[in-house]
This record gives sequence, C-alpha cells and structure tokens, in this order.
Amino acid sequence: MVSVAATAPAHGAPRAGEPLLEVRGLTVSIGRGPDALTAVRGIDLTLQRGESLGLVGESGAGKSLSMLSVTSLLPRGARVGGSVRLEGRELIGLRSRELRRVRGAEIGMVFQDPMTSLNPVFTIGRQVEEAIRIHQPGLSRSEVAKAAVALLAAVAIPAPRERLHSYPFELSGGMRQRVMIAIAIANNPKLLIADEPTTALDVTIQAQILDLLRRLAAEREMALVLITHDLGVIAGMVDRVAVMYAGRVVEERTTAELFASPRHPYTKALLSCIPRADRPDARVLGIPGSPATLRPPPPGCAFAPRCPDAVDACHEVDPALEGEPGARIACLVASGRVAATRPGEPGPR
Amino acid sequence: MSAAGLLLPEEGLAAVRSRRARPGWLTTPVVLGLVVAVGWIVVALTIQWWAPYSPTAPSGSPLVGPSGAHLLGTDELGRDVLTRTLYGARESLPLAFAVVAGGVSIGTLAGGIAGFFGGWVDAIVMRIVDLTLAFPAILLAMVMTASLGPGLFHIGIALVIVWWPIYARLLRAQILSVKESPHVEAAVAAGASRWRLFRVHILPLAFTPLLINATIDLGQVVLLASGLSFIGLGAVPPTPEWGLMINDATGFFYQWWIALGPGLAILSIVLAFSFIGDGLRDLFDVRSSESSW
Repeated sequence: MVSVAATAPAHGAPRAGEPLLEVRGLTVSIGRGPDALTAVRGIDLTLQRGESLGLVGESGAGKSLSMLSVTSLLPRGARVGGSVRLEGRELIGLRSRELRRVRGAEIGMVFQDPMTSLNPVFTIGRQVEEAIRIHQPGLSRSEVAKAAVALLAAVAIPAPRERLHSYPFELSGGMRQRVMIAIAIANNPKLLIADEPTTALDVTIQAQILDLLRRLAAEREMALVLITHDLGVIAGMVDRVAVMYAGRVVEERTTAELFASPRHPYTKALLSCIPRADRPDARVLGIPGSPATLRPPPPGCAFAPRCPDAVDACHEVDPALEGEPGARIACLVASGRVAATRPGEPGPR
Repeated sequence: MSAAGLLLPEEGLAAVRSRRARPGWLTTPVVLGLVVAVGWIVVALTIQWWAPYSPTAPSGSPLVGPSGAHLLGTDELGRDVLTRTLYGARESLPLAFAVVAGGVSIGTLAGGIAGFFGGWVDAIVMRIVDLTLAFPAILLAMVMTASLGPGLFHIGIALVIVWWPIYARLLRAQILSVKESPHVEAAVAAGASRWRLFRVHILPLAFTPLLINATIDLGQVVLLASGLSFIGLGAVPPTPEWGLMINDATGFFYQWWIALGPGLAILSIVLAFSFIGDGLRDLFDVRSSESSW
C-alpha cells in the first residue's frame, strides 16, 4: 500500500505505551447563553492502537457528536470543550490547515447514509483517487489509479477496475458504503470512526459491511470506533463497549463482560430490549419514561427518573465513571457506593 | 402514451428505439431552437464572405418592396434590408454572449463567495446585489450613454451591471442547499480544503440552474439591447442593428418590409434561446422532465 509519509505528524514518533486516542472531559454544547443545550457532558475514553471500541446509546445520547468533535466536524454553533489527544497531540483547537492533515489521513470516517455521502456528479474512481491525492500529492497519476483499484479490491468490490468508471447512482447502497469505506481507509488512517455505518442498509448487507470493517481494521492495524444504537451490531465486532446516556458514558466494559453481566441499570434495560431468539416466550421490554433531553438535567444521575433501582441518593448525586479501564461504571447503586433499597437487587457486599 | 406493458412487442420495441434515437429533452421546439440559433451564429461568423450587398452602402432605389434582387426590399436609403438584417447578428450575438458571460462570471464569483462563506460576507455581498437590482436597465443604460457616449459596448456594460445580481442570487441559493449535503460533510471528513470543497463538491451541483438561465438570457439580452437601441441609447447609425433598424422603419408605415427583417430576427433568436433553455431544464431537472410537447 501507499505510505502516509507525506502526512506524518510533526511531533515525532509516538511514545511506547501511549494510547492512540485519549479523550478527557469532552463536552459539546449547542448555542450559547442560558439557552445552550449540552449534548455531551464530559466523557473520558481511551483507545489503544488497533483496539476497537463500540459506542452505544439512544438517539441524542451524544455518540455521534462526541466522535465528530474528535476531528472538529461539529455543525456550526456547536462548541466543544475538554481534550482530545491523538498520539499525544491535542486535536481540539487545531488550526484548520492542520486539521485537514488529520482528517482522512490519520482519522478516517464512515457515515450513516451511503446514498448521499458520495458526490453524484463524479465517478467513484475519481472520488477515491481524490481522497488519495489530497493527502499524498506527490504520487503520479498512474500510482494513484493503481492505489484506487487496490482500495476497491480491498473493500471487496467485484471488478474494481471497471467500477472505477461507475457513477454513484449505478451502485447499490451496500456497494456505495464499500466505496465510502475505501475512501476512509485510502490513506491508511490509524483510527477509523464508523458512525452507524449499517443503519441505512439491508440486514444481509449490514453483516457484510460489519465483517468488512472488522477485517480491514485487523489487516491494517487500525483502531476502530463503531457508533451504533444497535447492541446486536456491537456483539462480536469490538473489543470494548462504552454505553452512553444523556451525554455521558455510563458503563464501559469489555464486550464479552458487558453482554454476560451488565451492571449499569441502563445497560441492563438496553439488553432487555433485544428480542431473544433462544427465548421466544420472553417478553421484549421497553425502558419506561422518555430519553433525556439536551436541557440541563436535574441534579443527580440523568437516568435516575427512569431507573428501576434508583434510591434517594441517585436524585441528588451525579455519579462519576469509576473503575479500572474496561470495567468502569457510573452508578451509585451498582458500584456499591450506596445501599440498594430493594431486596433481590445486587447491593453492597 | 399507453403503459409499456400494454404495447405489443413490436410497438414496445419501436417506442424504445424512437426514445433512444431522440432523448426526451430533445423536443421539437428544442431542435428548432438549436437549428435557428446555430444558423444565426453561422451567419454572424460568415456573412462578410457571401453577403450580396453592403450593409451600409445603397444598393438600389430607396423604399422598394420585396423583389428577386432584394428579397426583403430596400430601406429609405436604398440599402438591402435582408443584408442589413443578417449583418445585425454580428452586432447582437457577440453582445449577448459577452453580456451573459460577464454576468455569469461576476455572478458566480459573488454568489459563490456569499453562499459558501455565509455570515457577514454573505450579508455584505447580498446587500450590494439588492442595491444593484434596484436600478432599472434603462436608467443604467441612460447613465452609461450620457457619461460614455452612445454605442453597443456601453450598453453591454450597463446590461452586465443589471444582470450579474440575478446570477449571484441564483447561485447563492443553490449553494446554500448543496452545502448541507452529506457528501460535502464526507468530503470535509476526508480532509478536503475549502477551495476543493467549493470547486469539486459544491459548484458542479449548484451550477445547473445558472446554465439554464444563462441560455434563456441570451435571447433576453438581444431583446433588451435592441430595445435600448430602438429608443436611441445603443447603436448609432449606420450600424445595422436590429433595434435601430426598427426605429428607422417607424417613419415608413406602408413600407412594412423594412421592419419585417429585424423584427423576425429578434423574434427567432429570443424564441430559439428560450426553447434551448427549456430543453436544458428538462435535461437537468428530473422533477420537470414531463414535457408537454
């Protein structure tokens, strides 16, 4: 593959043991003054090289905004606070010229809607080639063309050489998403952020795209952040899962542990919302109440009004995310800081 | 047309074939418009080599009706009306193309900047647009003629000033909508620079309405320039300009042929460019692809 030497960061080689991505106290608010809405209320995440992380939550939980803010792709009027470090380099507040060297080169992004994410007036070949040329301007025309064919082949598009001349409207949704992925990985990014990459696709195609993402991440040693509201998508895809609620990470566990023994009441509720094929008689449960709004929440845990385990303290103290990496939880009751009031619930030991 | 499923195989095939032979946007008026427009352009480019008479010197007795020697008769100075009409294309067509090209260039620049950058840049550019739109074409033409003297070139400048704000508004509106498309966001995420975003991902998608309007405006500029010449603000005698020729003809009511040539010329050119513009709209705009002709 083509190297990214032309866009290598200026700060030198990454130190050993330094995480690839380190998010600290990230906040995103929309608007200003008393009417400001806060979509992301301080999240901390760490991602190692080649690691994959799932970001799960309802609509409006702040999943997309928090990841968009990593490369400052927030919509106009959104303000970001906190710190995002890629290999130790702060990305928040970076000048736009430097940001452009990060976008697409060090961090690739795949969006939700492949039907409209490609420019309709150019062939996909031209668009893939453009993605390469932006970050590797030194390559010759034939080198770029060769790299484009290799990319289309890498995302398993049949007859890649012929497809270069296709326009987006000639391709199916799944094929277009493959092209989007090809563009995202064109410069061998260290981190690939996929924002609900399969939401707009058929179920059968979804599985193919997820397989492709997992395979590419492994082959190219890319770290992967998969944003989704579908826990079924997460299972078997990623190493770790962070569950978000109302702009906060409420539980962060390894995937196997999360599914085997969810601890946060919200995670439990989410998992109980998945229909079980192995237990056809089990009822699919909903979560009572409605999702948190972006308005400043009342004091206490944002999930407390909907939480079956909530005790008085939950309405007064907003729990911090505590614990070892890969086993962190933000819940007073589940972490044992406050005694559960109801019998039968896991309480303090 | 009946539904394709109800057609006999032969009929269906014929329908498909005829559609392939002539695409839907290429309606009869469009073909007609193309023929007339191309015809006028060819005339404008080549008339000097095959014109039978001089456009400015007398070639027969004055005020003679149509005959074999003078197909559209002669005017009050004995000049051949047909020759003068054909030479008129050399005045009107270059003016039309120059005015539209100038208007589109300035309009694209202004509308592009306003739409792409938004904010206070947008506000300033669009207030200039509003200001310019407040001046009627005739007033500006009079100002130009008064300060620079009469002549088609000065009229052209006035028309560019009148026309560019229309294109600026059109392009700005298009850019505002294209700018929000997901593919633009995807391009930003891929690291595209602002200039590349504008040039590759926004302008090609926003330019179509401008192209259609510009085509229709070619005819409109011919009409307006002739109108200004008619009231004495444009071309000066003895230029064979259509508006001027019609003005000359106003004194000779019973010699109808003098005004016939330039009148038909203006009519045919305005219609031709309108038809072509309509065809282009059908070609580019899927929503109005139902043609009634």
